[in-house]
Amino acid sequence: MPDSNISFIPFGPQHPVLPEPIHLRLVVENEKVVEALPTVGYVHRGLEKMVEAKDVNQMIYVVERICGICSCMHAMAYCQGIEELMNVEIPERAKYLRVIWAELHRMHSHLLWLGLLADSFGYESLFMQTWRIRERVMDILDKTAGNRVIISVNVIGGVRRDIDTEMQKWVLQSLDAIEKDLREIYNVMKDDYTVKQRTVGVGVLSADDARELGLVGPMLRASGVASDHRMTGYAAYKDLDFEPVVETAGDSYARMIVRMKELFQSIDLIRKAFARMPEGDIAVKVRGNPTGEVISRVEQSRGEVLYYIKADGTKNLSRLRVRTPTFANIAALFKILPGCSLSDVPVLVLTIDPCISCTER
Amino acid sequence: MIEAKEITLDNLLSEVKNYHDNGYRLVTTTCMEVDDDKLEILYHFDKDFKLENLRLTVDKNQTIPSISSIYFCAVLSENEMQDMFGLKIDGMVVDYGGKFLLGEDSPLSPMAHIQIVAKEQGENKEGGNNA
Amino acid sequence: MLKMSKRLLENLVHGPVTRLKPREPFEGARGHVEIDIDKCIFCMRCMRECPSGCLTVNPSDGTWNINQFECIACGVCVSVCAKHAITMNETPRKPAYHKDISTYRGTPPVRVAKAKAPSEADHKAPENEKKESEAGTPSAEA
Repeated sequence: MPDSNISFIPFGPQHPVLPEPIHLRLVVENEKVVEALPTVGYVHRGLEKMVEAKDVNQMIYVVERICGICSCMHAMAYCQGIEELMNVEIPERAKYLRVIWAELHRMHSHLLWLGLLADSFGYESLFMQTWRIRERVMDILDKTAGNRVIISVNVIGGVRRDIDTEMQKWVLQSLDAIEKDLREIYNVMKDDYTVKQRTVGVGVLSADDARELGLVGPMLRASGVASDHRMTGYAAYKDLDFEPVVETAGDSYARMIVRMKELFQSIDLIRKAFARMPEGDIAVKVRGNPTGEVISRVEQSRGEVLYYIKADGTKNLSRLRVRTPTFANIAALFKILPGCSLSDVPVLVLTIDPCISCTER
Repeated sequence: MIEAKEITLDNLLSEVKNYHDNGYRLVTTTCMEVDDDKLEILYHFDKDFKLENLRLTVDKNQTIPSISSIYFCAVLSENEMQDMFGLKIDGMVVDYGGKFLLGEDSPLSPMAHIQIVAKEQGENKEGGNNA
Repeated sequence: MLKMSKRLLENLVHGPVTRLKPREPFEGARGHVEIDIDKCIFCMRCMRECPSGCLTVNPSDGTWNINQFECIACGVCVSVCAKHAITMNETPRKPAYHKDISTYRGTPPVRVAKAKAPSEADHKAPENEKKESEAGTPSAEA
């Protein structure tokens, strides 16, 4: 009887491996997943609707709370959009500072993800090590911006805090120590038998599939598509020459390597930014309300975020649409889960770096 | 102002197919309310960091065809539009039935200023309570 | 496998990397909002700009209220305060059993156009719910 081995397995919304609620309805045949239907909707907060209640400046703090881990980049995308609408050119130094904080956020996001990935296949020790390094990055954020996660440094027209020379020295020293520890972890993760067994060849996506599914960020780059929105040179990225990290295998291992290499890239970018940062103001005064519509895109740690902003000249925006990276990457689950074994489901769900609060806003 | 090509319901699918065949990536779809009885939908496509937009204006009670048969990933944003604006979309590959982001007891179409009260599937009817 | 063991042995003799939670805050950390109520002129700017809506400023009875549990410590009120009355304390707010609203009582400035001054000045500190018990002193500027 062909149907006798088919069973339905609900995965989540409460699952030990996932910190956030996503529900997967898995149809399994013996140990093999044949169909998967991801369902979200457990943490929808209606933050896009908040534009009716909060004014343009207050919305910065709302969009920061879409997702804690990419909060700086959310505010950056939003502020860049509003600045474009109001034809404001922010000071060069502010652009560099935005890049520095954004890259620090990318680092702590990737480290958090690496820890969770290690945890998902039971490598507890590696999980502890990555989070230990992450804590150092958090300290840098805390000391430079005044808060660990939601740093609230971006305002329309620039940034609110400066990093002075003494602090820069300290940050660079910390980064050296972080890089040394990261090398160690990188060598472990790159060659480790356990890691390879669980990730190599699991959840393969070809470049065409990835583009077809509209994937963004490390998911897309691990499949061999060199798509990194930082290459368009927003903020100060145009002056910090860098190459996007691309892997061609398209499996979980490639996604892990992409994120690990991006950690080193981020350190490199921060160093370059500190070296090339000009002196000057950190913010310009902005008056009035924006009018018109604009699309602002920024590369977050999980991929490209799209802000659609429509303003009508009043103090409230008329529409704010945020397409977060996970919202695009969830589509990958439809494709990579069928065909894998049930024990690989947690790893595969994690390789898209799910942020459900982002997805639902 | 963003550049967007105005399209109609008739050539929506052919335009989207065109982008698909030229190797564009669907970024997302954005829905917004123009006035009390019109919705505007933007389709964003990306190729080599260049964003192309399609703009479609529809009546609130009009049914639009789903583009998910061309771009599978559109199911997510189409389901979101269905939830948030009460937009009727025909032929979605995966239909969450208006419960993608919303729960059982959530307000219906919360992003639209006039809530569209959906009855049972098949006989949708407009309501007029201003939110 | 063995690459990790070096690190593990190091950890064995290293001592804890974790820190106790109420650690010394970094300089310039955003802990909680405080106000020097004597400087406050009750312009209500902080209340209008606050993103979380945790502030209520009432010029008619001279109270400045903050719900520390709704406050997101973003520091907007600190930067918009014209009289630099609001400051950011580096230590996070204390945990509490109840989400009380902290009320500070001050003296709103006497507006020449509205002669409301006498009734206001009598409001002197009958029940100061929180610290700043000396807040009632009528030192606000006209």
